[in-house]
Amino acid sequence: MDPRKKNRGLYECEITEKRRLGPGVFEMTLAPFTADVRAFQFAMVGIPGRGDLLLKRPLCLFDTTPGKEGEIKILVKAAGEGTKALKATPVGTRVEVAGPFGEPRDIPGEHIAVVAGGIGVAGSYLFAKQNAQRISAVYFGSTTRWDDEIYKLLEELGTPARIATDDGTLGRHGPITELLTEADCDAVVACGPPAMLERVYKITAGAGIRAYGSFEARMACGVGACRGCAIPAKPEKASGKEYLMVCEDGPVFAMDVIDWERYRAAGI
Amino acid sequence: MTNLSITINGIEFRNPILVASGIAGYGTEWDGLCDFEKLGGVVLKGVSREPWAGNAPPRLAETPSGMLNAIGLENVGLDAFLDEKLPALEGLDTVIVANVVGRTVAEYADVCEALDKHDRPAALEVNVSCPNVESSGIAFGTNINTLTEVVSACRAATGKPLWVKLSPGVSDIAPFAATAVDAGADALTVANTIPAMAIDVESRRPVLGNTYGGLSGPAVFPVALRLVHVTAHAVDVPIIASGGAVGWRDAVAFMLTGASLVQMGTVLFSAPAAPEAAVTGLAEYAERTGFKEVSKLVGALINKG
Repeated sequence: MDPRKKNRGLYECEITEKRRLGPGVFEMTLAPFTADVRAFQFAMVGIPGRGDLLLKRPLCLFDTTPGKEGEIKILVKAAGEGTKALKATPVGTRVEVAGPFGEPRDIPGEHIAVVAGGIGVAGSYLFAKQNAQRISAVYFGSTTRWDDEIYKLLEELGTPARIATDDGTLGRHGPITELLTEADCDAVVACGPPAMLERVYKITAGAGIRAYGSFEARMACGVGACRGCAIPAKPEKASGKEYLMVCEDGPVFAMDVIDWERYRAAGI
Repeated sequence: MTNLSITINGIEFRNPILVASGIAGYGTEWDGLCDFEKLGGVVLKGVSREPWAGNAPPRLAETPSGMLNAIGLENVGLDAFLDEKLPALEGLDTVIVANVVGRTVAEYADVCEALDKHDRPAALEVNVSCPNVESSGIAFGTNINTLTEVVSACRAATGKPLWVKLSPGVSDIAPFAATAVDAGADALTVANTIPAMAIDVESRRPVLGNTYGGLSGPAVFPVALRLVHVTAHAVDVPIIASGGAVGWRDAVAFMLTGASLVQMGTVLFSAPAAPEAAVTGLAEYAERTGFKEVSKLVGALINKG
């Protein structure tokens, strides 16, 4: 078996803790989950008690404690039917969880700017935590101010945190990418909505800085079987492939591999 | 101890539960999550003569108790399938069935001919729901003439057991089943995903990049059950049921209506261990109801009046 596959598994987890971190956003702790997790990897989380919602949800891992007594934390934004149902699920409920999935990827660079948009702070936070020595700053933007707890967590990373909100309720008034133009870094890794990823790509491409993005897509399996989570790619930069799979090839891609026009048209 | 094995077309399956094409991938993706060695077999992802890139995203949409997919049969193509995918299954102790797709009759036949020379696939399953590029994109399997052509061509190209996976998008499946058998099918897979669509009313756009997709999951199970029942009355070849089975109860129902084997698919997304659990449940059912051999369940339905 592929050694990377040995790390993954199927878990019957219990929701051991839930706490609000922002508007419509909550952190969920699931245990037991024994596997090692790398930043931007994700877990497929079932929706308990809702047989009509078949698919597990691919949710980015926010924090991890591997080992026998291990657990994972995920961030959930109650946006669709499944995530709203998760929000309403009480602590103590059992949930089927599979993972961790996604290719662990090494991001080269010694002064890496980490850019997070909204719920994208989950993977960004874990990346900054696991690569603390190489982070120049963490940039976190959201539509409006989140709860104090999330800013405290970012502070505790020990790396500079730059904050922006679209409505000006905290930090810079406007998109987080405006702050990125002033960044002193040799690489950027971004996780957030598609429009933010594209803005990061444009800024970094203009400045000649290597940039990586962690992507999302609708997904059924998480393991490369269903071919559902396709992201349009430039074949000349993606070993001839027209599409890359978020679960198998990603979720982190070098930004210049993405065919942004086709990606935008897909409205993923 | 119940005998769970089923033999059709001279192939012995250790039990009647298979994983369906498209869900099983190339047989290695589910390693560590779903143990194919506990199952009767696995039907690999459809393979075409040349690689297919697949459809523009979004390719998936969840619907009540089901899902739509419009993957576009993305696959690595015949060369990579033979050179990389089949050899990777060398140590896998389960029956392997290859699934064949094409845009023209010649493409189907070429793939069958190449797979015929390979030891591993025990049988070839032909997906006749692909659009026929030589006939305005109408699916081969929804027209009696093109169904005859494609099945005859595949039959001529291989001596391996030939399964034809029928399209459910026809008004009456019986004549299509009879046609496939007359053209040389050794068994029929009943059926495929049901043509369907979803719309995002906020954006007023279709959800799928391809507009149309195929519905699968428990929502289609009663439809598939009827199709198996109708097909079983129309032909004498073995039937492999495929459509929305999530557990042993569905597998038993499929077998009672006449299916020899049952493919499970979409349920792997919600519960990768479901096929294995279905095997256990099936064994318990047979034990409890006095069936010493599960093969005796096939067609054991007590019909009304």
